[in-house]
Amino acid sequence: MAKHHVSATVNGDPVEFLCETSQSLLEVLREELQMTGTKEGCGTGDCGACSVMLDGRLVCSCLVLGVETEGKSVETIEGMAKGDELHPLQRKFIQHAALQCGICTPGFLVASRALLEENPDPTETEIRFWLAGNLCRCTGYDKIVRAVMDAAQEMRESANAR
Amino acid sequence: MGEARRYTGSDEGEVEIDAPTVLVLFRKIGERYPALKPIIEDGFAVSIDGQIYEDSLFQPIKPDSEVVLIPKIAGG
Amino acid sequence: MPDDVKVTDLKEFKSVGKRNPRPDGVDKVTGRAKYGADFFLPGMLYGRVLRSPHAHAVIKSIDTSEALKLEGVKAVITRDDFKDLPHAQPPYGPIVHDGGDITRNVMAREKALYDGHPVAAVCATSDTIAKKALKLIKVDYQVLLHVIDPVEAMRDDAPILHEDQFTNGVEPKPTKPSNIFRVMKAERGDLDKGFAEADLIVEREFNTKAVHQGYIEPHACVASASEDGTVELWCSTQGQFNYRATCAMVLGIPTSKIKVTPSEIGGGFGGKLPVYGEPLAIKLSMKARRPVKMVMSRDEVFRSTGPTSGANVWIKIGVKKDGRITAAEGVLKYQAGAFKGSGIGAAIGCMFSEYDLDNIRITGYDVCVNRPKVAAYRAPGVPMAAFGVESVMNEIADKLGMDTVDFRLKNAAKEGTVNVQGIKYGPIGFIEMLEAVKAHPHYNAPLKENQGRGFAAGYWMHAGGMSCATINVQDDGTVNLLEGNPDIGGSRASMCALVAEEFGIPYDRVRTTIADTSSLGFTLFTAGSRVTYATGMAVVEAARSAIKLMVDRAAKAWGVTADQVVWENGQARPASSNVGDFPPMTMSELAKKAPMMGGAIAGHAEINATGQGPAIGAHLVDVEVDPETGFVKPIRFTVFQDVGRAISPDYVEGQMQGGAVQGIGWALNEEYIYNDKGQLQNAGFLDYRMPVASDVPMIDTVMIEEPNPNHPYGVRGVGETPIVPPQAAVINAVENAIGTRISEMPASPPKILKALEAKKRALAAE
Repeated sequence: MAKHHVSATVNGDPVEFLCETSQSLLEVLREELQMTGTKEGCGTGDCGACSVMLDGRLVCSCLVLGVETEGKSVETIEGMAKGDELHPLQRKFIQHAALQCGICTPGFLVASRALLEENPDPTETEIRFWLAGNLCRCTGYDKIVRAVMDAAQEMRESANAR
Repeated sequence: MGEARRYTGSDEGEVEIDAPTVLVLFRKIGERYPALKPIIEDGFAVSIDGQIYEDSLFQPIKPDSEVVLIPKIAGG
Repeated sequence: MPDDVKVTDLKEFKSVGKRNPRPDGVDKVTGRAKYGADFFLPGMLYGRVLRSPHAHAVIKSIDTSEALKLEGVKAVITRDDFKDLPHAQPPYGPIVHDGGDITRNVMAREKALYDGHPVAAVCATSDTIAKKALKLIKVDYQVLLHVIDPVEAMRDDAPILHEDQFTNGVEPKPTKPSNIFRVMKAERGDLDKGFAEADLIVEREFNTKAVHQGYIEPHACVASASEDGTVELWCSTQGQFNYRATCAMVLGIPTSKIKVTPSEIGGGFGGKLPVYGEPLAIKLSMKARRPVKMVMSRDEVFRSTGPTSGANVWIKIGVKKDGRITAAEGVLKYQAGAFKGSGIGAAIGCMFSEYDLDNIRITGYDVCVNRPKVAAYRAPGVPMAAFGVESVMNEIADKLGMDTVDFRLKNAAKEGTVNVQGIKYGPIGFIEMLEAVKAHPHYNAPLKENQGRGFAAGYWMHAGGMSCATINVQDDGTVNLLEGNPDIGGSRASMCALVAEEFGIPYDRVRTTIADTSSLGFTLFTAGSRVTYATGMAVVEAARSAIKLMVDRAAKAWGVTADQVVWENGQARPASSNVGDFPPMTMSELAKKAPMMGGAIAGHAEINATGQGPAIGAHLVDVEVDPETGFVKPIRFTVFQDVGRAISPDYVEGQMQGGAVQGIGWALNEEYIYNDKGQLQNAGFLDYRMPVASDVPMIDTVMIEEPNPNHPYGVRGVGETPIVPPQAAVINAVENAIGTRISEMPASPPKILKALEAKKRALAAE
């Protein structure tokens, strides 16, 4: 069975790749493009470790086919920092010790950024329900929620300052 | 002697043994209780006057120390 | 600790005890950090495992011929590719290492013993082809009756897993094979006398289900075998040295031929101590002469890797009216899974051990059942037993009309208490911790309707063991530290802090690397709450040995003796003005001059850490029960723990919070569900329901620091204790919210609704 040739944009850069019909976007990112920042925790859309943005929408990349990205824009964890500058969420996760083993962290960061883009001032409850699709087994979520709240505050303040 | 008592075949909870180190203690216990001999070094730690020593054959034992045999510690 | 390791003289710390940014933080928040599945080698093949769909079956034959013909398939392996290894023979030590069991768990031989048991494996040029090849392997099974419940497996008429297993620990020696590997006992005092003296006796039977560690990263490795007989293995593991030894044993090659490099690890909790796909990947690579990558799917992780034991636990405790316990008894029946070895021993050693008891008897049964072989899950064996003990303790306090924490205080262990194993305690902070619980605002905060508060304590004894560390001082005066423990929870930050503190230099001038098995002496796994304790001790020793070298050089440079030189704040200086008017020599200076002063500056330590003490905790939790749905929501949670000294408070808190939430899941939702064929029905995160962020509140932590005098920085292991108390605390809170006793876990919504119904009916009947 011949592979499909797909052209898409990943983190702002044009990419081309070959993939089988059944390969997920997650597999394409990791295997074809060797971008391993997006993680597989379950392959069935239940853990959120594979979270990416697809045309501005938060999705589990294990539930998207590689061929579906033709002509679309994908944003992964690798594109979150701008040059040397970490995103406030990335900084706050380190500052608040919101990671222990760190395997769920890329997924949480992508999902949290999507939340703050939609709702810059979420309550604790709103954060917890938005992130309910991201599993963490190490932290118990406490420090993750605090990091998101702190990042949200910093981002609001710098937006107001402008 | 708790868990180790299963191997001694007796109800002796306490015995007096003259041994300057854990290595010698284990050897003497193995001589007195043959069922313990093949497993004592690999399976057991000791508590000497309340302090736990695991895999410490050269650990000295004072003349009037209280030594307890305890199973080695596993973890996860 | 070794007698020559001294407690630090420092009274105030600059790095230790501070909230330092972890050195691997940036790599982990950018996705740069490499975990087990993130490694690629040129020419790499993809490995997949064929697993038994039957819970119990004889494997009559395996035909791999069609799979081998498939284009792209480079090798296929079965039991024929592995030598049989002898089983351990009696007398059995407390922990049994059985090569025959290990090789059979990695690849089945005579029988498939659980749904998911590996039967064959392939490697191919793509994952798709490898999966296709599995479908072409023909296995002829003779399906047998199976058993998954330990109580049923103990019956005389139960299907037998191992015809050569005769129960150990019973007299006379049995002649019929049994699923019970052994009976373990511990006893102290006079139990009958103790119960005779009691004014009140409470006994209860509890049932718990198998739960999985639930690490988010599935097992993953890449193996590369060379024509010269050497092997390189890159894998996610809690112990690269332990994996090397086990792979060598299963493959029948010397340990010196294998080099294991640990990747970053995405969670373990004890589940990444046994090997699974690693020997298979190595064998496939040997046959295919190309690197082989093997990554488990989530389905495979659930079906084929060790969860912890489900258990039947019976507890009986007798007390006097004033609350003093007179006797305590427990009977434990644990699932070991397909092969012997559940956590009975640890349960016996810990379940009552935070209490000062004269009369105790505990009997434990290690029972084989047709499930995956259990693996350690954070304080392995203890949570199920502690659930029973603490539930009965709470019930007794209720019946006596006594405050539940006061009841614990009445019986609390302290310095000088002797436990069931005969260990006499040094200083332990249990009483201080209980007082802290009572004094905490959570303890008396008001509760609303349908809310309840629960409490439980817990005891765990952590490991010490072998650790090595090497330090090299760079020519700019910074420090490279090489240690051997995969960093699961932030331990690198603690190692950097300890070394920085010893040298008296800023935290960010120390860089920690985690060694592969060729680069460092044997270092025991990252488990048993041992890393900050034992490896912390080793890095401190290594630092001191490097400091000694630099002090000697400064002394020589000044023409004085070493005892006239003091090391402070990253520099050597004369001990007093009498010694001479020499300006201090900094680390950078000594490092730059090193080539002229005898060579590079290094320090190293190879230790066996001893002297660890108990690790005790207590949990306080409020829940709210929805009487219409049976849904239980924890709304407030406070974790108390004696942590000795928190080298990295952020990460100590993290351990306490993470363990508490795992306990919440264990108590309320998590369980393995099998159908009547013994096949796992919920092998995924949708139906194996672990807590998500919206299920839990903030987890408050109270760290009590009663330093362990046997560690240079007073450290106590903290990682595992937090999973011992939460289940009983949560269940106790539910009991108080709904007014009915609950004796099983998980207390999932259907069970809560049933309990509420039963209570309604009982009230109506009155």
